[in-house]
Amino acid sequence: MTLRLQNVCCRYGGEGPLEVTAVENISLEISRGELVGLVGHTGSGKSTLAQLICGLIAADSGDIWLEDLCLTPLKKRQRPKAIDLAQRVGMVFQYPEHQLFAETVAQELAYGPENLGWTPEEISEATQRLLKRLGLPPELLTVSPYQLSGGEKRKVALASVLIMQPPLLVLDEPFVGLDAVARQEFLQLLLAWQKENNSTIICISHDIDLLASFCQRLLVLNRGRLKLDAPIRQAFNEVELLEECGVRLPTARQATLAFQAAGWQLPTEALTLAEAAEAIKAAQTKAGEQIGG
Amino acid sequence: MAAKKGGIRFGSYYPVDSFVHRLDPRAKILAMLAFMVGIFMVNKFSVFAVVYLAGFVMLKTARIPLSKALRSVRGLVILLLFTSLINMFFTPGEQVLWEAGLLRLTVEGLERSGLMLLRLVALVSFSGLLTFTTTPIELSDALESLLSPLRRFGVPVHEFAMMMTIALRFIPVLLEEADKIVKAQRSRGGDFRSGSLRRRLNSIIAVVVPLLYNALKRADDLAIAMEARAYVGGEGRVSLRELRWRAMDTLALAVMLIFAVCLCVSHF
Repeated sequence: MTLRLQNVCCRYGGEGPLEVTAVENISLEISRGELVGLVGHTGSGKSTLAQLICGLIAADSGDIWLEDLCLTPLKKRQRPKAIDLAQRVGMVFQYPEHQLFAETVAQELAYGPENLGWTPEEISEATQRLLKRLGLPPELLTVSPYQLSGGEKRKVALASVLIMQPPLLVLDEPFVGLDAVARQEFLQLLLAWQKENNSTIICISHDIDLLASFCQRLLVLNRGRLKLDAPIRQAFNEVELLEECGVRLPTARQATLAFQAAGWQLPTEALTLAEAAEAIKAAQTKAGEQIGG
Repeated sequence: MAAKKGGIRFGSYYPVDSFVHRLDPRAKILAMLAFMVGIFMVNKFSVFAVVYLAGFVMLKTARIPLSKALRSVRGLVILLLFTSLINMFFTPGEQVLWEAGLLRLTVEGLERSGLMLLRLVALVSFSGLLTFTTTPIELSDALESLLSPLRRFGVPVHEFAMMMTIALRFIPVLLEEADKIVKAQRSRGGDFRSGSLRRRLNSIIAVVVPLLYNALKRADDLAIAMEARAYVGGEGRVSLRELRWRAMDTLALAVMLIFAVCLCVSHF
């Protein structure tokens, strides 16, 4: 599933003083299986872009293609139907647990697949498999989603989208409100699911360390414009640009930069703390050798 | 924040700076009431010409585009058509122009339906002068202030205004939330426009249940937050946004009152 955007613009509030340009002239291409991080400060147009990609709002101009499905037809009548969209792309909103509605978790999970026209056998099989994947006990299926704990609710809400196996998954701040342990667990589950389906993931988050730990590519938005689109390691070399866009560097990168500023010689491409520690250790050994020799 | 695209729009406040925007909301409410009464009393085409002229001048002063004021008329087209047709054919009169069964088109009928049409369009399009130029919060503050004499008779004016303020404050929040839930369910294949009745009903439930649940939870949080800040009701409270009555307000209101009285006098 290749996603293609060409000169996409989107405005809010009609014409007049209320008008806000949320997304301006964005072109990009994302191919199947990519893990993409989308960052930018609040109001930079991340959520708008995410919803445009999912076909939930219409662009004012430009083209968006999901493989063979055009999300921006000239005629309003030709807009893709909810089912056609749901088969191709899943969106996990901020606080997805706010969308839970069914009497039981099983019904909650079945809502999407039912809309897609799956048979009950298919649904129950997919439910079992997914529960196992997410490490949730099968007894949970008969419980009301409103009785679950916060973390479990979030997992069920995620599962209600994952169960449809969308080739493209867009997540808007999926980690907000989870503690550090739950974040890691949530991420690992997501990545395991991604590997199995070879789905594309576009993830909006302010947790730059978490993004740095799993994304391959980084998109940076500022005031509705795409300021940077680069492989993640290179993206963090653009220190000034990122600062201008209000994006923090990952802790590991900050650490290596601090060591460099203190006169140490070490490479800067570290993304995780483990990598940074490696680099520091290597630099130390090297320095030791120099002194020794 | 502006209403989200593809979502539901609410409120008509038009945020520009103008003389009318700066007037005290109490003056605007009273002036609008006077203007409405005046419009109701008009029964001559020539006077309506004056009313429309005055209305357009006021819209211009308030820097509201004419198209925006007329847009509110669009929603009432059916009502307008219906009332003018009824008036046209069922008004008893002497000078019959055309007759078929129960329907009689008379000169009086034409006249009355024309007046009624002008009256309704004027009411609807010029009432925007109040809502376009005054934020809902200002409106509810002004109402509280205007109704405060009723407190002496045991009417809970403050509580009423507080309820209105909270309701107004949360309408956009709820709309935004509804918008988000609709989108979330839509991305799960939920469709409100097509499919069988059962499926469509299910899709509506999938939006209404979480919306209601979240609204109740939010109300609970709000009550706790207000109590935590020692809110006990209206006695002895002062307002963050003090309404200030200036000479301009007196002047504007006086002009409008005189104009309205003239309109009323023209009736006889």
